[in-house]
Amino acid sequence: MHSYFHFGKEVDETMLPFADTALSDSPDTLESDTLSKYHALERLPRLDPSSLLQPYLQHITTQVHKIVPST
Amino acid sequence: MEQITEIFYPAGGDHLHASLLLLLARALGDISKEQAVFAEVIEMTYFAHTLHNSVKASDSTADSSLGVLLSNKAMILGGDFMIGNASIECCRIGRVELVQLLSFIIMNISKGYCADITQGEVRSVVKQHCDILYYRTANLFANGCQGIALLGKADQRAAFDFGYHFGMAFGLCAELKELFDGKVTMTSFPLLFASQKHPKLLQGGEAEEKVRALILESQGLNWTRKLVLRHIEAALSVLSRLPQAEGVDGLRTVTLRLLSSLHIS
Repeated sequence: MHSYFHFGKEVDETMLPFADTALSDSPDTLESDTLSKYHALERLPRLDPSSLLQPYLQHITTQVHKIVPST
Repeated sequence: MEQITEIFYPAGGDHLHASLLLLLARALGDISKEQAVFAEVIEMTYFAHTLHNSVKASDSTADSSLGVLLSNKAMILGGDFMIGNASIECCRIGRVELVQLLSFIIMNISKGYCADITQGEVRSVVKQHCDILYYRTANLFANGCQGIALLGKADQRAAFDFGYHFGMAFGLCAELKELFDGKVTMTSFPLLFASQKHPKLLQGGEAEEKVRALILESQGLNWTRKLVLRHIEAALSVLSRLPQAEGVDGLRTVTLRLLSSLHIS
């Protein structure tokens, strides 16, 4: 079968280094490593996207309500 | 059908799949009508998958809150109905590649739920579980993001990678949530990581409370948390490859919200 989409087949190569690295993590430094990574990410700036999304999400809700009664 | 709709589409619901795809579309430029419809298609597909996934083992058991409210017949037919609607909407976009992509997503979800883990050494079991997590959860985000990039004539590989890493982090967080709720699943990353120290965990048969204690004692929780953080970092790193626009800030925020699932204070 011809497929336009083949990235899924490459997932093994993309994914395994993550799991492999995780398996080789040293249990002695695991907790401190995890905490420092977490706190570094936690400090990154955030911007609430709800006002950008609201009109589109409202449209989805309306669409689904429109589909259902037509049954 | 009306009851199902009321359950899944309350006003102001977060619609995470659609939100992520819309933000990605915005990060690539202006959101086109086709991209908005495709985000809707992916949300409906997730909705269908959730219905199918909530089917009970028997009429007298309900594993989820949805199972308490709806009969198996309603969940199976409701899920099929939503997949049908998602397919119609997808065809309306008029791009055969997207219809193929949607079929691919649905096929992957089925693969994820049909797959059985073959027992073996820890690395092999971890690899199999990675595949399952991808098919069941990350697949919808990754291929959904790819579809948005295809419509936006943008870098499909970057979009796929972002969705993939976000989806893996999201799936891992769901496994952690189960653990925090006191539930132990035989094939979950916290247990698989803990089995490096306690290989007998892979054979099953231990009492749930004991398994939970072994996971916590052997740092299965921290291993999983660190894997989540790696996927979050990877997802954020992909964002730097996207054109700078309003959507990038939104994508970073939605990704960072996963941190709260780690229960680190």
